[in-house]
Amino acid sequence: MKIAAILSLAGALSAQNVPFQRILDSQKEPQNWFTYSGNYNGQRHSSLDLIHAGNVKRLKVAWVHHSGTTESHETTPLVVDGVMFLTEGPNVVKSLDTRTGSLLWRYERTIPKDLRLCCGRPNRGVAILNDTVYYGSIDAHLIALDARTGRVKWDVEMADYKTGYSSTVAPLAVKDKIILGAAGGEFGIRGFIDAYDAKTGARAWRFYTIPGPGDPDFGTWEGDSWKVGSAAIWTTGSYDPETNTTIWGTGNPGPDWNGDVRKGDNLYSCAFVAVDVDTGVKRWHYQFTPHDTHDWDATQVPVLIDGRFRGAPRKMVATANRNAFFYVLDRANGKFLTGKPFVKQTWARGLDDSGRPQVLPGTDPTEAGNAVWPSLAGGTNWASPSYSPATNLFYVPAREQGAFYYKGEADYKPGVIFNGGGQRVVPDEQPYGAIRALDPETGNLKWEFRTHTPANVGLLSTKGNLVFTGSTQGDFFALNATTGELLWRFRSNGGMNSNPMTYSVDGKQYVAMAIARALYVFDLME
Amino acid sequence: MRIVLLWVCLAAFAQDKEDVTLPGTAEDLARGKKLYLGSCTYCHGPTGDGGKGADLARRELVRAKTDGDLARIIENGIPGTEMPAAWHMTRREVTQTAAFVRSLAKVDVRAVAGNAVNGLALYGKHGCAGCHTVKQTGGYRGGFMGPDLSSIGLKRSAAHLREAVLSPAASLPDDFMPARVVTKGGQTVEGRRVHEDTFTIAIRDAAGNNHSFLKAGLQSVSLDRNSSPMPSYKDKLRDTELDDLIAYLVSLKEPL
Ligand code: HEC
Ligand code: HEC
Repeated sequence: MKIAAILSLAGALSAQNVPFQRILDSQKEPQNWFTYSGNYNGQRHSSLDLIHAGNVKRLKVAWVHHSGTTESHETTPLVVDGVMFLTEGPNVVKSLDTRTGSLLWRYERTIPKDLRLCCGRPNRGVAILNDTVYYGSIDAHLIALDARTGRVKWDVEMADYKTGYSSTVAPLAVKDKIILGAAGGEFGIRGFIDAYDAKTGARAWRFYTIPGPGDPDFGTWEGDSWKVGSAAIWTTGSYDPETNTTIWGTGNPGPDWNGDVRKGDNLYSCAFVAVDVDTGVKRWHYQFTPHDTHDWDATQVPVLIDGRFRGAPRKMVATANRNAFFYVLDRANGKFLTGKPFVKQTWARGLDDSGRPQVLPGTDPTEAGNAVWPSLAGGTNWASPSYSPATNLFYVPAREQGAFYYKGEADYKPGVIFNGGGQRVVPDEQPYGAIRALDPETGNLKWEFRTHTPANVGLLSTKGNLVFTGSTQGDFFALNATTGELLWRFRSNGGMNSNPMTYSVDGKQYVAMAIARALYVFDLME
Repeated sequence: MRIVLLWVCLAAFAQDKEDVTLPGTAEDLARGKKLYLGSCTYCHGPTGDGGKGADLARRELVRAKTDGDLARIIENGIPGTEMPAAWHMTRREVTQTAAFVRSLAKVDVRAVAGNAVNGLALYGKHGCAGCHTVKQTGGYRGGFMGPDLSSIGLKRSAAHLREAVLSPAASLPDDFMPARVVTKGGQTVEGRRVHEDTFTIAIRDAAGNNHSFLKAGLQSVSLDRNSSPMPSYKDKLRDTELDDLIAYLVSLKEPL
């Protein structure tokens, strides 16, 4: 009986398919989670409200699916018509029955033995378009898998892993294209965003996140430093159908902590870039941290908000950046609207009228080391923020922590770590974390919920007036989205490094979260 | 292909036994320092006294007794721990880094002045064992309030040990947090914190008993890294006695 049900779900998937229009209209299908952030607008907000502030106390584990690998579990599952697709680092893609966690198929990629990586071998998820699942592999290939069976349809190399390229990002499917970029920011790569034809895997365009000779802004890197300047891509961008642009956050310039060898603003590192989906041509960019020397990647999901700014309706993109400032930009042209710190910072006097940071002297890393707030991990990191149109609040997982930053020497060699320094904790500091709810128009704090340690766990807001998130120490919990009051918690005793999502099937809502080495799925006690 | 792989394994095995001579010129050390600052400070700090990584400013590195072991640890990392392989370095760069690591050791070349046998007697007389565990004939013995001192001679310099005995509160071990909670019912529990998260805290008292609390059930939680439950022995030991006690502590080198 059960087997038959599973088969019929798998059949339903192949019959129904996920054309671009369905992803575009995803607000009409809140039971599904079609793309990394749930929606093209990057809000990680669900209009499901079967689970709500009044009944969330009854939430309990529905099922658990163990990963069987030892990597940090950073995936956001996708859900389509009762079928789930998720990844497990370093090299596995799976499809599960969303009601039971039973395995429908598993794809495992053989990874080269000489793969060299800086920071583990995680993966953050897949994209789906029509009947195909798209996976960016740790050795920098893009792979198309049959959504029903996991069989490989095609496999293209994005870049040569031997020179330090890798991929950890969940791709973004837009129109007939699959968009993603390459990681490897600690290896002196030259970052890029690529678009591939979803049917054939042919590359449609490449946008280098570092301009080359003849490009505008080429002069922002001294000498040949642009060739190895990194600006990697490792967190999924957003898509704005009205302007037909896709907006992505770029990584830090390399070498990370030694800026002497790359004088200049180092465009387009630590920036948002808005690129035309059809052509790959840049429409605008906005750099948060010019000439960064603290590893403050701008790899936060760009959150698109249609709201009011100073009394007038405005199409905006908001972000809480790793450099400790919250920003709101006009997403038609990238113009700075407002910005304000959301955690303690000691590196800038403030932002000028154009949003450029007024950097304080003596805040660069030195050989002896000097203390700067925030730490290398930033005021927030890649864990997803959330915006709820219901409360008009921007939620961010904030980190209150500083670091001693050191400058070292860095000689570039292909495929070799290119850091130029490091960081150390500030002795006797009591760092902590907080879920902060900000007014997106001003950046003012509305409420906060403190956690014992700074977390790198993403947020999900729902129409049920809930915010779901977790702590590095193993608590997964739900807060009242309006007040920040703790409503429910689950003690897993496993670390979290991921983002929650939600879906519904057969009239029942579920919340899913990768915890430690397993995916936990919760539903309401009957 | 298979044959080639086998050959590589044999080569690595042979290397395991290989003795390594570290370079010693000023240029080598300077280069080693730069490499160290670039690749190791991230975890070990610029002077090796640690952050996320192990303390490298020690007189003896437990896992890197010989220079060959040290070079291999740098080259291959320590599998199963957070210590990564510095595969980006050439063999020459590895040995330069290793030479710099050796220079980080806060070595007290002068032998410790005191007499360890007298020190053991003082350790007993002053009640150190009430709070600390050391390995003695018959097993690990002692109290639970303070850190296990069985291998303290490997972990810390003599200078640090001296400070620890004279002014205990001056530098607590990283994981040591004196804690005191008062429950809503008015009960007070004191000791060292063994766990804390957003919602709970657990404390081990002087007798070694564990107490675990939901914070919601507590009136107050106080943590104080500026105090130590260990008394200062400044006025209780003569200079020669202090030397003897330190000599005893330095002799405690139980392998981890
Ligand atoms: C990502 C963090 C990290 C980096 C970077 C790192 N280490 Fe380590 N290292 C560690 C940790 C953690 C340990 C302790 C491992 C254990 O025993 O559990 C360690 C242990 C060691 C040890 C053994 C210490 C002993 O007591 O025997 C040596 C030697 C060492 N590291 C040297 C280096 C050198 C040299 C570099 C730079 C080339 C380096 N490490 C870079 C984290 C790091
Ligand atoms: C009342 C309990 C108590 C007594 C008695 C006591 N200690 Fe301690 N000791 C502690 C505690 C708690 C710490 C950890 C906090 C600190 O460093 O002050 C400590 C720390 C130390 C350290 C530093 C350990 C490290 O990792 O750096 C040394 C060394 C030490 N004690 C030696 C002694 C000696 C020797 C005596 C006897 C002369 C003694 N202690 C008596 C409780 C005690």
